[in-house]
Amino acid sequence: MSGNPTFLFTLTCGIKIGMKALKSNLAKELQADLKGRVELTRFLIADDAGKGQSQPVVIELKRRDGITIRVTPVTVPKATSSK
Amino acid sequence: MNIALPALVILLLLMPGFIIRSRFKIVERQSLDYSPFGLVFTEGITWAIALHTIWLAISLTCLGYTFQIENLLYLISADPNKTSIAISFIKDKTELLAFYFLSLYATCYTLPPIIRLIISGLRVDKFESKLSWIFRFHKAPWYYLLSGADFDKDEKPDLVAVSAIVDVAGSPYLYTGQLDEYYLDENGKLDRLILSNTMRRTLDKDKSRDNGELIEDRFYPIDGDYFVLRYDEAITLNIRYIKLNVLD
Repeated sequence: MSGNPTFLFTLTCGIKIGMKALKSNLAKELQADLKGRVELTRFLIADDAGKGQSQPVVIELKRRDGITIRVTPVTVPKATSSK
Repeated sequence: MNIALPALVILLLLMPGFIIRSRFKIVERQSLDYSPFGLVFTEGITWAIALHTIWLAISLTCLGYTFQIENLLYLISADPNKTSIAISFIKDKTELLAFYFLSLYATCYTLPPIIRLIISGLRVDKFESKLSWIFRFHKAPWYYLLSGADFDKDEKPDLVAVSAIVDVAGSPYLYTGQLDEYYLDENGKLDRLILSNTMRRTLDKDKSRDNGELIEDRFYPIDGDYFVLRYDEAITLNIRYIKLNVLD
């Protein structure tokens, strides 16, 4: 729970000038994995260039418990804007 | 040394309202509360009245103590005789008064973070919530934008990707990376972003070319674990929410 930015933010005195951005444990695991990191970065820059692949990107991630999972990153829209 | 006792009493009475007000708010600046004085004053007084009403009700219910307003009025009176009467009355109730104020001040200090935690946990402060007009922390826009607090729990993205155009020696560069942390200055303005796995390319490579060049070949990675991007130096900032869907 200590990594939850919402939790950290709300537990402090209410004045916040620096904090961790949104990043799930799965994203952290993917970032720690060399191959996963490269694939995710490749997805981000392809998505950034507006070159969405016809086939979704599938990243294989070997987790710490030895189980390999397949992950596909997608950009999700934010319906509302606070800025 | 002369002590303005009435002023001190009023300060003690009103202080809880201002403490809970300042502790309850979420703001992204640390220097000053720029709220209009009238608003600050009204909110502080309102909180103080509400808190004292609750505490006096608890005192009456649990301790059987009845609040006697004439003693309070005597205490803040300019007449020394009436002040003496009030002091002699409260002299025997020092422990009770100390407990009253200490418990009140302690609650004002510790309760707001718990309430904020509940508000965030229930997501009643998110933009689309019907109760957001009450519970949304309007002075913390970057928190909602970069922490995913506007998403439902089951729809929450896994990470935030940031793309920014930065002018480097007259040439615009596009930087893309995953957002790790962000910092605000004392006025609540975004100060810097900490990115990881950052790539960059010149903006003139934006156009697609028919030379068979792959998209990833246009970018090159930046060595280092983290990249610090100063918000002042960014010409534009693009934010994307990335969800990692686990396939069966």
